[in-house]
Amino acid sequence: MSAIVDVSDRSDRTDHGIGPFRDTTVLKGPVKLVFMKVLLGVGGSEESRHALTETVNRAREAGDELTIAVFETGERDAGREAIEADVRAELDESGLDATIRHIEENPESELLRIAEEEGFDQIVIGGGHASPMGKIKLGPITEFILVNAQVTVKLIR
Amino acid sequence: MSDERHYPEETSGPFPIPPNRFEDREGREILIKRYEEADREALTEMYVDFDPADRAQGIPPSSEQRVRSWLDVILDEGHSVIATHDGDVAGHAALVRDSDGGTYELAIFVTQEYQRAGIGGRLIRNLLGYGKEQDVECVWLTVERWNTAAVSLYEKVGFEQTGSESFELEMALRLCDSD
Repeated sequence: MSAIVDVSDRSDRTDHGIGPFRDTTVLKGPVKLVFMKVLLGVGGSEESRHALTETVNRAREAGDELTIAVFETGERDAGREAIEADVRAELDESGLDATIRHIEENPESELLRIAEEEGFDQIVIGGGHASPMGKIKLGPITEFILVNAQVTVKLIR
Repeated sequence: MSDERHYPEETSGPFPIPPNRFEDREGREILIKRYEEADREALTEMYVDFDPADRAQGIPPSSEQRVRSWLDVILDEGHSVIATHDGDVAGHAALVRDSDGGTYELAIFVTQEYQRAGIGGRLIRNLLGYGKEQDVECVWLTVERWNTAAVSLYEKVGFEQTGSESFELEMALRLCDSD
């Protein structure tokens, strides 16, 4: 499920007779996705794995220009080579062409820098896991990105 | 996560062992007792009617079906006490075992009409007394930073803030010395 839905792909918006949409036709039938330049951050967690699958699927449908930035998050998680192998397997399976790059350190601030300097429309991250009690907790990278990003952030959990 | 958590060296307590009766600040006769299977429907009802504004960090869940499956998990994997008044459940406090060992996460819920009457403090003390009896050693919780009333209640019973920097404060308490 996407907790924060980006506002930039509202291609299903209808004509309210105001603003720039005055002369547009009301869209009917299946929602048409508008392609975006998307930066997906992938660490070694289960949540990242899930975000990868969802984002690749959406990119294939919408024709997004997808860049996948791979980083390590902690000693308990998978290393970068293992993560990249996962990413390549996912891309091969879907037939999607995406750029893969690596982030050496400070993934949270690096993701923001890349997104802002290179004109990405959206950052996508996976995050949020449930405690034994069922409380949803966000990790420190997710928190930092949500609070500090200047572009739209999509959180997949 | 939990293996990095820092627990106080000193044990906290002593804590009362349920059942216990007391009169709350509104003069209502409240019974605090261990949760039993027979309380299941009344407890489910409390959560289904729970004020959405009092939800924290995604719990309690918002539909009856999700409340039921959430209770399946947290009641099976730990220890619970409830506060009752006239057959209604006014509050619930639970310890739920971490997947990786002997530490427990604590949470406490009091329905809106019974809040600010001293029930939360009694619930948590009785839960810790019950937990100690069940050989629970270490307890942790998270709480939203702005919730200063809850933070000071947790501090009063012995919880200390751990170092983790996050949207939520994390706090921990030791019930027994480890062997």
